[in-house]
Amino acid sequence: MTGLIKARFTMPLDTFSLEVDLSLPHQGITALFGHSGSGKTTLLRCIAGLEHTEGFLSVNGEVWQDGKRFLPTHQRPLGYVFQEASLFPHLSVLGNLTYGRKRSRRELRVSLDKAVELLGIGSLMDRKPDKLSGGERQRVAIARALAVSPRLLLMDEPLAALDLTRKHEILPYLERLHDELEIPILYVSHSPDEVARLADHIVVLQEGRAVAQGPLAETLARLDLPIRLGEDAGVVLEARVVEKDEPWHLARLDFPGGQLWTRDTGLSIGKHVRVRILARDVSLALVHQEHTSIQNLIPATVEALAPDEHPAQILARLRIGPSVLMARLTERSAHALDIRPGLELFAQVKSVALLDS
Amino acid sequence: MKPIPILIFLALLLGIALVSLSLGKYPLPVGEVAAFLAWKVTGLGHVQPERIPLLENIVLQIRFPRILNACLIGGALSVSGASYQALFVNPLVSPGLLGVLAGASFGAALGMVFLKSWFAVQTATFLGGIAAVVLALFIARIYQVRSTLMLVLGGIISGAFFTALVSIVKTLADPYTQLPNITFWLMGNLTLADRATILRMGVPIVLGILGLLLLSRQLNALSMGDEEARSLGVHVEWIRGLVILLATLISTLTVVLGGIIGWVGLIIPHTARMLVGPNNESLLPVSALLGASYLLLVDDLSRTLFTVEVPIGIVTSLVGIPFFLLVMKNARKGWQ
Repeated sequence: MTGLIKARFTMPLDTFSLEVDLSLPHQGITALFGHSGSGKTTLLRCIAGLEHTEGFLSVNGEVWQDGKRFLPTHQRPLGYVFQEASLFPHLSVLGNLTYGRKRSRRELRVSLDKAVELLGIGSLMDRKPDKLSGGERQRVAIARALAVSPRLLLMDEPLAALDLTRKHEILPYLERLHDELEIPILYVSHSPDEVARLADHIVVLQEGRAVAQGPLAETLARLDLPIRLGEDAGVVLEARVVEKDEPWHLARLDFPGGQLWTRDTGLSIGKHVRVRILARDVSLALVHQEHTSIQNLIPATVEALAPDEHPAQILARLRIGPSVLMARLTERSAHALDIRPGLELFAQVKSVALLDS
Repeated sequence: MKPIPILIFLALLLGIALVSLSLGKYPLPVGEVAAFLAWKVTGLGHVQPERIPLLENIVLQIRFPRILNACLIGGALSVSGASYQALFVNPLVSPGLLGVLAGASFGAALGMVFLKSWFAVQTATFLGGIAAVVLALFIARIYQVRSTLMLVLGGIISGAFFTALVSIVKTLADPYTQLPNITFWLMGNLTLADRATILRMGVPIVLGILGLLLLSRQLNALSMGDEEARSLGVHVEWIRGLVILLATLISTLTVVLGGIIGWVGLIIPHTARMLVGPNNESLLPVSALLGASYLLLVDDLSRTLFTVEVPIGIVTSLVGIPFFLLVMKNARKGWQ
């Protein structure tokens, strides 16, 4: 099976057991998403071969584990980024980067220069690890994982140990990895924010099982997602900048089926951006409201309704051409407006979060 | 601090060796010893012809083997100590961690009571040391292969077991002839080994030390943590196995050469780490050179301080403990 990462593992854990059978795309970033203790890190460790358990694993047709056959970690062409980077204290950044590299006799998929450039650590090469900030250390660790020329990059909550500022410092670099590398990345995270921003594909884990998986936008828009996202419920859209309203500092984004006005953060026309629209920021109106402060009024069709976490609220999935939005509203207003599947109305989008910097 | 080049430590060792060759019951001028050695090696320079037989006898026949012995033991214990400290990522680890010294003591004691030839005693010593480590590894394996904690516990159990066996052999030994021999051996002593033994053991010890030096790069990776090392493509089990094998081998051989000499394998790697930092690529060779120098100095003390020679194991402990207290004050430094 080329073009796929096939992973099947069974492993008893403390209170439940990991039981997954996944076919993941062999490209882009796949998020292994779930709450703490859902088994996502264990799954990543199984894939790395750090846990020796029963199962099957093939990456782009190459079998790494099958029955008795078990390729030990050090023979798997992978890069692993841990939550906290441990770098050699006595080596400079350059020394740390070349350490793993000298060991890899495989063909080079990522040149050292490329890894350094992607992570923006060119000016740090002569520094010792104790002279680096937490964010810089993690970037060096990521570059080191890339420098061994992996065929698969595994990242275990690489931002979890960092504070918010550092996270925002690293995220753009992770996006660059996504845009410029052809190496598939498996990214463990419990943060809907990070997932929305980085992932193309998502696997939702709960108690050791994959309860949902698929392309990110489609999966996030599912109303029956077994995992509660609460305030983070929403959708992700791929859009393109098509027009700028300079006097008002606004930019118009086109997405399949519709358009949105958003704050112009220095976007250039033609740029592809990813936006996230939370369900709580979308309200519904039966007619096109003229007297409203909301800029984005998008014609949509109600596709489905589902109960939300709190009994007072429901979630509505709205169809806009090929795209989907989600709206959160109270059960009472749904009743008052007689909102039901098939109804044509207007989605009022109050806030659009640009995910690309 | 800028790392001190390894060559300085080599020069230090050679200097101390030269001084040691001139020290003793029959003191010789350092200059004469140096000139004699230079003449011996290169054929150049001038030595008084009537002094040559005397110098041959004292310097080469009597003092050189002993100095070589001290260097081998000091170097081997320090390198195996440094390797263990890197392997277990713990500054309080010494070569005896996996029970090798206790096992070798038992082998020696057993040999001295039941075996006739000196060679058989040496063989028993060697096998005893190996047996203790095998037992420790076996105990660790019963529970969990990968855990270093289980290895340490296995070593403690194995060490305690073989120490008990030594006591049994002691009670069985003839209290007038064998028991003093055993006790003396366990104190550590550089006079026990003859020239032939030193040369015979010297080869594997030097090879073992070189082997560990070659592994120093991989040892660096292990001290970063198992899983990170694995993800960087290091075959952790292999490296660990090889390091344990070589470190065990050379520390057992030191017991064959000089009995139990404590503290060297603990304080020398510490000191070396403070001087050159945690990089095993320089830490290991510096430990070897520093350990050899240290044991030479201590041996000089034990030879010259009193009219009766004090067993070197006692001196290393007496010197080592206060020294260790001093070092411990700064011990964490070299690990950062």
